[in-house]
Amino acid sequence: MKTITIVLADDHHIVRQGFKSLLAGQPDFSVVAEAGDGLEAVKVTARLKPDILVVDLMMPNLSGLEVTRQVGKVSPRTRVILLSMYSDEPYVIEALQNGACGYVLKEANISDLVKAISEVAAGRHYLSYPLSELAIAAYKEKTTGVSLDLYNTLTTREREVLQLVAEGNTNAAIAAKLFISERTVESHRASMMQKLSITSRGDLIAYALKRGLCRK
Amino acid sequence: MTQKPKKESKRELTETEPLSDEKFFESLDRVNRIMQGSTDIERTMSDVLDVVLSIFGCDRTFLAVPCDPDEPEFNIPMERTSPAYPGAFEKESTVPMSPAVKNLFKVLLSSPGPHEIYIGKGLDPEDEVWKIYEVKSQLAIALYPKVGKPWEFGMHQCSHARVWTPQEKKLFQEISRRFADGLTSLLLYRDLQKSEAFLNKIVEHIPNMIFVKDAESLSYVRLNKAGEQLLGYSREELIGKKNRDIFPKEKADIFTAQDREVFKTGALVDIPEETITNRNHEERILHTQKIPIPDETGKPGYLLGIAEDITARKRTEEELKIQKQRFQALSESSPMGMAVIDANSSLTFKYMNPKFKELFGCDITEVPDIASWLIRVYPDPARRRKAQSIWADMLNAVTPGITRSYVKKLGGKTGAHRSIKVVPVQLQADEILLTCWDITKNKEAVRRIRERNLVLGVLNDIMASVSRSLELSEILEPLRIVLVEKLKISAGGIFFSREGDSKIKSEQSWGVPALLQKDFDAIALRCPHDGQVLYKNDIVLVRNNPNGAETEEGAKLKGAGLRSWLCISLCAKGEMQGMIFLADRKSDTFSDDQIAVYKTLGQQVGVAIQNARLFEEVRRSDVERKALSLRLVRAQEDELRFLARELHDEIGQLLTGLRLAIEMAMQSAAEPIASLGEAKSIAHTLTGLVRELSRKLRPSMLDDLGLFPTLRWLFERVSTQTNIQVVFEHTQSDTRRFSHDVETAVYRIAQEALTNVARHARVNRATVRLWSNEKTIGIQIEDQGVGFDFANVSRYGNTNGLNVMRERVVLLGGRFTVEAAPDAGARLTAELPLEMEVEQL
Repeated sequence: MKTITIVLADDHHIVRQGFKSLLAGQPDFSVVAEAGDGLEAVKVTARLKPDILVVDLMMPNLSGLEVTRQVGKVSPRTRVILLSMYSDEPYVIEALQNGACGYVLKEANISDLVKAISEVAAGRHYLSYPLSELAIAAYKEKTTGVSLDLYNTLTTREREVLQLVAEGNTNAAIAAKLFISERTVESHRASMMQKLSITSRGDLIAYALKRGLCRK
Repeated sequence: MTQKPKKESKRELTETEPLSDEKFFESLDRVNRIMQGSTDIERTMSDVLDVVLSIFGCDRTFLAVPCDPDEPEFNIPMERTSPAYPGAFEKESTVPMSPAVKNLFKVLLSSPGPHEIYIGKGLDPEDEVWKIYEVKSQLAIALYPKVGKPWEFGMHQCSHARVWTPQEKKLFQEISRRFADGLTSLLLYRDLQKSEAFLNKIVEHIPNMIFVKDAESLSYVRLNKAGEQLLGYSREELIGKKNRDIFPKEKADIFTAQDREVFKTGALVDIPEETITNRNHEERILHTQKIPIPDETGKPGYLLGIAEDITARKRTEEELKIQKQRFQALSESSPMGMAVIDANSSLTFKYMNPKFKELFGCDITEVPDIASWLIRVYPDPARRRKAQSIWADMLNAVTPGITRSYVKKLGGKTGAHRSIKVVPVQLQADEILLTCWDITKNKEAVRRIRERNLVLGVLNDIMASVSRSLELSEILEPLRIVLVEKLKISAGGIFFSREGDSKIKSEQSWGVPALLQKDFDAIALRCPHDGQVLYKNDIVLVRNNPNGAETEEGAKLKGAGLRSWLCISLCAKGEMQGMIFLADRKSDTFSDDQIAVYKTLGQQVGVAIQNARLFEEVRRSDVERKALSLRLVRAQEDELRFLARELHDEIGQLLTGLRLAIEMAMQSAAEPIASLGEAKSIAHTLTGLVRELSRKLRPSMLDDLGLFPTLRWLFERVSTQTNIQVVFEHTQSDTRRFSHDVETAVYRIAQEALTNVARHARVNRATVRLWSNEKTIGIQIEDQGVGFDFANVSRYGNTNGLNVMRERVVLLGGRFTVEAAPDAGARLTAELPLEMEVEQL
């Protein structure tokens, strides 16, 4: 079996040493270099073009996410495994979007990293338990949200003013109808137009017509 | 007349030949009789043409006039025809001249006798003239009546190319001669009739009465229309009547005597004015002329009278006389000066009323014209020269029907000034009526009112600008405008001490003469120490001292044309805060009666400045407070971020290292050590605690990944950790990043609001809306829960974090809106500008 070349990047010496000695015990793994910050990690990877780069997500100078992105350009055949203390889905999503093949939680068992390296070297993705690609897909699905209708952001007053302006009332007339001052009307009107990204009275009437707020 | 066939007329024609002597004379006789029988020219012509037609058995007889080849046209006054060839011409028709006719007329005028043409001899049947009228032969002659132009008299034969026999020609010539004589007298008679009719018309329509009386009986024989109207009798009634029949006896006798006088002298009698009473009892004034007209024998036969009705004229003259008297009476007693000027170039006085004389102390004898009057009213020669042209222009501009008034300032160096209102009016006959009165007193009153209005206006303006703004700079500018434009102060400056500086410095100045450009401020600031103190209380008024010794500063100002000055010192708490310095060219600008304005003005400005200062302080402290708050919020957030990082990265990593070490130790140990397993478990728990603590302080992903992934994560967390389902509506793409302040504020608002919903709303659903454009980002959290009474919540201070949210938004220059009502849900909206306008300190 071919030896898997590995570069290990973590700004904490103690963590780096821990992992290094752990990996040294694996017969077909070879840690060819270490890096103490993001920039160095990119540089070393570009030079050595290892099979695997194991990189901490939080690093000074360049974050693990950014390192992942850059490595994709300087050494495309190197597969990146992110080491992270965050099990939060946004980080996992961001990592995968940036081209990472593995996402290993630091709190997982040490054997988890060994498993991840083997899987990723074999061309598969690996996410530490309890993460899974299925769970990430479900999370994405849940948090997509829905498209916003800007009209719903209008306050009650703003809706009233919109209606009355569209019906052809002047600020003075609106003020009289709503029992508020003309300046307040002006303020509501400006705020409402700002929310709807409308700049002219003509556009406002077109909008009101489209929404069926007034008739031609 | 019965229609006869052409053949018969031909036969008849042959029968008449040859023309016998008997027939010759008989024919002439017929013509003579016609001529003598009538004075009607029309009828005579017609009859002669008929007789000639029958005598000669021709087809057409006619007359044409004038027989003149040089005329552009001619007229056919009469034509008779045989039944076979009915009329060729309209009666009295006008025919344009043609070459053939022109030629024919020439021949006729040069021939002594009749001239004949027929087909084969000078008549071209194809010629238009002959062809139209089917003429095959013509015999014609020129007639020469003694009145007017020659005529053509002619006969046409249309049935055949007739050759006229010598006898026929002779008879035609004889008839023509008689016809010509007859025409002469007929034409003369016609002209006479015409001119008589014309004369009658004139007499009839002349506006003067014309009457004719018989010399013997002195009874009326003729009267025209004007006479009928004047006397009130129709001519039928009057003719045959005498003076006594229509006038009262005395009057009639006078008239009769006059009439006799006319015949006695045999000359014209002119009666310039006489009064008659006519039939309608109207009195009429007449100007009458009577002339004797001799009869055929040379003796006076008639009396011709011409009378003009001058009643209206006489009345007008009367009226005018009364008017004149009225004017005289009016002008003599008028309280206004009145003078009539001859508007011709000399401009001499024609009349002056007593008031005019009194006003200007002059008399028409010593001041005969405008020029000498101007000398009197403008004693100063320089002013007079100017006035002369102005007066000349004014008098030239006078037009009938237009009345304009002028105010003239009379007087000069020595005499007091007087304001005179002058109204020149154009009269008829090149006269100008000049009405004048002294309005010096009115003017003075008007000036005072105007001044008072000006003062009120000035104070009003100042008050308005003072109440409109609390900004010092916004008060000073209107103040300067009032001083320059309303009070028209030549030069001046406004001086103030700015915050934190006890020295007074110039803020504004205007109208500074070039001479003083350099040291104007120094002079102005020295002035309050040298002048006469007029008022000293809340403000201090100091004026140049007219009686005191000339100071250096005063001399410098005077040298630059500024004759008077005034300092208005503005004091607050006994300290001079500013000064308004005013200098004017006029020496009496700051006189005692004017000073009240400046005093009030100064007091107003003083109050305004105090307010402005206070406002400035309040605003400054407000700005400072805001800045401080913002700094605090930032520092707090920075602290949280630092703690979160420190916990997570440093402590977290150390724990990881620890765990690794334990694991290594466990791996290298020959048999499991229980305490190591426990240590590993504790390290694991610690890691989890640290991470959760870090997250709560501030999720690092807000900095690492941005607002949107963090919000999604937050909503997901709220959904899983509480029973609230968060519906996220947005218009964003995840990659957009904003400033730290904005991202933090939006995140914290969402976090706080959702916490509130979870705690108080008693619902299981909330909607979060997020939108942004180039200028703003907005977030809105809405729930349909129990809601609250915002007023109550505020009053009792339990604002559920609303105030914290509001504060965050306001500090970043945004808007925070709360819409809530009990049992109607709540909706919080925060809108933040993406570029905060940093308020200047």
